[in-house]
Amino acid sequence: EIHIKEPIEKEVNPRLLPGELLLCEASTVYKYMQEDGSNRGTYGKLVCTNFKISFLDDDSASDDNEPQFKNKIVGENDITLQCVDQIYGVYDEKKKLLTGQLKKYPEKLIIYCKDLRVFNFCLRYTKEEEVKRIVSGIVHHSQTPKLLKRLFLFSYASAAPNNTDGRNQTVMFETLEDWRDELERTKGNVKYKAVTTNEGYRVSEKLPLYFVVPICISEESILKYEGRGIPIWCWSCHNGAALLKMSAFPKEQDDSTSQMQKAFLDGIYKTISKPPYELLKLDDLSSSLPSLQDIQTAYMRFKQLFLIDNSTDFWATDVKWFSLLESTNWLEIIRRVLKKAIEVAECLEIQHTNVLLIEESATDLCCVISSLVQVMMDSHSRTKSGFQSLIQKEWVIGGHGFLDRCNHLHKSEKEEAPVFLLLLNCVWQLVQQYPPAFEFTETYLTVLSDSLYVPIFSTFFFNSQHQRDTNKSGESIKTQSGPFRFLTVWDWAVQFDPKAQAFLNNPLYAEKPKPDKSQRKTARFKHQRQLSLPLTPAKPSTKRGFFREETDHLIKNILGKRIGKFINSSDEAPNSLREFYDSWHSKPVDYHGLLLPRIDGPEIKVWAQRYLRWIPEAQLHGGGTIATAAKILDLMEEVQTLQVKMDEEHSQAVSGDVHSVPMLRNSARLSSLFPFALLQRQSVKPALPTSTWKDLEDEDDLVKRDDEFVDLSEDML
Amino acid sequence: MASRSPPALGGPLLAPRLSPAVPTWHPTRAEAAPMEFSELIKTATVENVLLSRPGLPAVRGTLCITSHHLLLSSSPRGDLELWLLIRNVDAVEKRVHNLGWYQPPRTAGSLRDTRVSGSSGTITLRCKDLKVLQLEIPGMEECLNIASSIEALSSVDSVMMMYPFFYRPPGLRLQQGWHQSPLERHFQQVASQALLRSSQPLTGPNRRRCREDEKLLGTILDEGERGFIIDTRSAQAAKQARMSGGGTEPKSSYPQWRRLHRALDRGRPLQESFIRLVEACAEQGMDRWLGRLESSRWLSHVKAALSTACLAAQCLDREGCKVLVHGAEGTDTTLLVTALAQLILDPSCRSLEGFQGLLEREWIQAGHPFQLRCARSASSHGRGKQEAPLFLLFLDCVWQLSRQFPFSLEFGEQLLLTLFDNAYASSYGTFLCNNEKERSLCKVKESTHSLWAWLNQPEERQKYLNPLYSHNPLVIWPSVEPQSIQLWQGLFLRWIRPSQHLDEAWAEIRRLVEGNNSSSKESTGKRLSQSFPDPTAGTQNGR
Repeated sequence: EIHIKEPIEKEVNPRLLPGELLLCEASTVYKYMQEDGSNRGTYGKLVCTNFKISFLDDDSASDDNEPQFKNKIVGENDITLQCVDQIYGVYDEKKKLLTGQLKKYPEKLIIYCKDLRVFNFCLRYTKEEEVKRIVSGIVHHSQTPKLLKRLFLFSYASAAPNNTDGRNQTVMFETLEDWRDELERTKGNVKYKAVTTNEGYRVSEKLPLYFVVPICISEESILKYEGRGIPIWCWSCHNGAALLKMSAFPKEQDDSTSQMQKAFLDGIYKTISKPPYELLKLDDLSSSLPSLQDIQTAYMRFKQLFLIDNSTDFWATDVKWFSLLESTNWLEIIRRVLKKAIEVAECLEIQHTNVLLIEESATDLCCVISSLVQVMMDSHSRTKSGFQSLIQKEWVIGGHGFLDRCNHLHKSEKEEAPVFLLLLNCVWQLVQQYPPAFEFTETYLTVLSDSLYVPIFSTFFFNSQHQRDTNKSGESIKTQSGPFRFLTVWDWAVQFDPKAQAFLNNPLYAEKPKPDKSQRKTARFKHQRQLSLPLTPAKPSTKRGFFREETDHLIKNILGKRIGKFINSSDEAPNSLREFYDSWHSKPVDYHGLLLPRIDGPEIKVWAQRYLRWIPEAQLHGGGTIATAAKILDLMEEVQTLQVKMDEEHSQAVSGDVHSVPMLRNSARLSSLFPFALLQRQSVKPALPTSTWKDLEDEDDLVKRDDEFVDLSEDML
Repeated sequence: MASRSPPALGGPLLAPRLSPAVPTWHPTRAEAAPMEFSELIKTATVENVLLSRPGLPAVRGTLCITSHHLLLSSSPRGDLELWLLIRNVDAVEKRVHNLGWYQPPRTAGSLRDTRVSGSSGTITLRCKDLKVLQLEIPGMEECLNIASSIEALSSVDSVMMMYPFFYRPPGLRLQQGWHQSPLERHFQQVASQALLRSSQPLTGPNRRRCREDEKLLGTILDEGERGFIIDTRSAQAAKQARMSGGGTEPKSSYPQWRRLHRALDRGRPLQESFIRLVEACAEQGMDRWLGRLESSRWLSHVKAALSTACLAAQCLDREGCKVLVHGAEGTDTTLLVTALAQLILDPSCRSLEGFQGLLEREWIQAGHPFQLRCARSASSHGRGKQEAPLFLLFLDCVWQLSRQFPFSLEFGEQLLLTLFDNAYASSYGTFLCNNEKERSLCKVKESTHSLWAWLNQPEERQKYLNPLYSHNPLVIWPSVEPQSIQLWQGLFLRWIRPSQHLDEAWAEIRRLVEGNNSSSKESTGKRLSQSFPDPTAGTQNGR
């Protein structure tokens, strides 16, 4: 049943990164092509290193057709150990999950990846010894608990040449300066201060070295409960209202302890809601949003819809697609999260009320909501560097437990939850609804989500800044090399060459007009946007522009009046939210102003690029959004070339540097799965389901039956 | 359509705006309200009517009903806010509020509210193009009169009484745009040599045979050649058709043909699917949206139509076989399949001219009964048996193709929307009647203007072009998996969700293309630089 092609005895060696070690290998492994459920495929060698599982095609040398969009670190047949989701063995046509020690070795190996690729390997032609070694090697290295220091990150960092600093304007939030700059940028410095209390991690190992709190919070309070119960600043809105987050106290059995904690909290609230501070709205995300467990369950169900073994399974889900999709609840969770972010934005923008997000650790849903609110309200977060700085601020330094949430070390499945993916999914909704508002593309988000599983960057491989700092010293491995120099994922040149990086930038991004040229225009725009928002009469308008110097007299006016009071999220009137939402959507969009996602049913979509990219049935030859993108890139390039020509004619100076890369001249032949499809392998074929042809055979039978039936009736006559 | 063009063309002539003297509205015979119409109009003008539309501020003004249009000009400014072809009204819902002794509400217009009869009424107009208008009319009697006038005028049955017979746009000649081309009777050869369509063979019950038909089909194929018959009915339905004189081609009598059944819904199931989808879209907040979308089954119909067209295309292109498509009459799903297959295979059908030709050939001349199928739209619960949105389904499939292949079609979404609007209510004669015979009896070609003539005027034409178009000589195989089939939001949510940011993105693309074209014009001197008009101009009328 297999197209036997003589396996070529040829030495193919894996390309290893610095610090990468070959652990085991097996030859004459047959890799099935996923697309058609037929048995077509190629022979090659399957290897496992301390970084990846890799299939080396025996014919790979003949591949002169280099893909245009290529990851330099992880090739199309590479699976990093952290990217492996589940491994199944096939024994006599039965699938069995492989986790630990194996007694029997399977004849087929199916590897499901976290980036939703599915690999099918046939081991029937491989020597038994090699099968044993490779299967147990792969299962052991990718599925069993691991020590942090055994992550490839460390071997790479110690072996790789001194890394370049490629953070490209991304603010890392590792220094006090970074926080002060951010305060200044958002004009939050009147009321908030960056503190050094946590130097040496005196307060907590979960908190970053530096963070920002309201000016009135004392050092003692911060130290009292390891930073719990302390509002930590995330961002300040243009009107001075701030977004804060707070780690809550765990539920205490002991009454007196909880009494003390309550008193402490009341004290804090009183302090920060005393004039000149204004209303504070509390939002306990653990009760107002789905739990991490819900999110994990929904995602598990959702991704299952896209992990396709073969085409037949894929078409089997066909009829019930929408109800299957709905029953996963994943899109509903996205919708609820977006809605929550709109609620918070309404408080900040319209009610001028500070919002305090509360969660037990303040490092999961707090990160999602605070990031989303900033993406929606701060156009800086919609630039590439701004978005990256935001991820640094809220997630990496903010202390999101990437290691545990991604279960990189296979320590506990209970901790696993795709919180960061949830954010990317939500941001994607905004990107597809308002493409010109973002400097980056959906491809950027997709490769960012893939980077979660590439352990050469430190970005997503620690639970906290403390954990990273304490493991940085490198004493246990190579004392002489000094502290490790980890790469950051923001150095995109590590993964992509400049040509491929072009796909991360949005050619249609409506860049902010330069202030010198069109100052008047921008000013008017801002004005318009503010006027367009409904004012809530219930709130004293005197609070507008509270922190601006020009409103000093207003402060005097209301000082002494007790306006400090905090509201719970349950107090809010749902109508004001709807009004805010409707009113915003009835106005023209300012791509550099507030951006609210549409959250009505049809607007929440499946992130097709991330989830469907490996499914050939979803492929269009010469179509899809990539065709548009490619066309626009071409156009921009042409415009640029012409611009250069014109400039040359004007200045008579020849600038030889500006060159145009002919990117996708043949966009009509591109696959819609580009940049992720393996175009060179596929013939242009009709995208009809194979089931059609299967049916066709059935039809043939039916036609015959039909005739028999007729004949029979004739006999009876 | 009518709700679009007259204000632009006749705008300056609207001077005596608030005068009830109807004939001065428009210089054509159209509004001259012949006797037949004036009997139907019980109240011609009402002042102080409040018009509200979703997503738009409410407008107060004077409502006027003419023989074919409903107009509302705002007071005091006198801008014309609404120009609606009454034919476009699908359903009229009225609600009367008897306010009794209550004071009229103290709104801005309360001073002018002289008609303090203590009652008012609300009329909700559900239009065939899916927009919903609400008119708040002071005075119960006026409200009921207006409602019944609209109902009566919108259900005038006689073709010759319809607006296209009165509409005389300036700048167009009557004969313009009406193609005359001979038609074959039973079969029509289309596109390539090998795609054919027909109605069912009239074999009837008791295994009767139709020798002539066998011979006819036999002559199509050469010795040893095989062909495919794609029957758009289920095997069961085809078998049942024998009882009423129809039937299928039994394999024994048509040895060279291989019959495939691809059941496509038509008629009532399709109409109901359309109604359910429109209802789901109108739902506020759209909870359980995906479930409702699925249970409307509209996207399944789109998928089924596209995959059957792919099957036909695949038999032609990949198997190199001749293909005959038929259902029962050969004027509904058959046309859906053949027209789509041509669009997939033949690049010449994907230009604006080519597409018009395709519509003319595969839908209009092929005898799709537009008048029966498009008599009512999605608000017509359980009215006729003949209504079915087959043409809309076709347009939706074309939209799916245009979305999947964003620059392989020369025309854009705007054209598809315009075609949908015109199929249901039009100022032009193109979609009138059910077949060529009726059209000739009614002298449609002599007495009405062709939609194509209007569309093909240079300025108008620009609005329908796809700025990204570049000729694609290849077959465009669409993806028909459910993940690739999307809801046509531009149509189904057109009046619910403003698409302003999308329009802006398109405007930006146009600007880019335009900039590029004009700069290459400088270098090549070949291409024409055009100033692109606002792509949304026109349809936004009435908003």
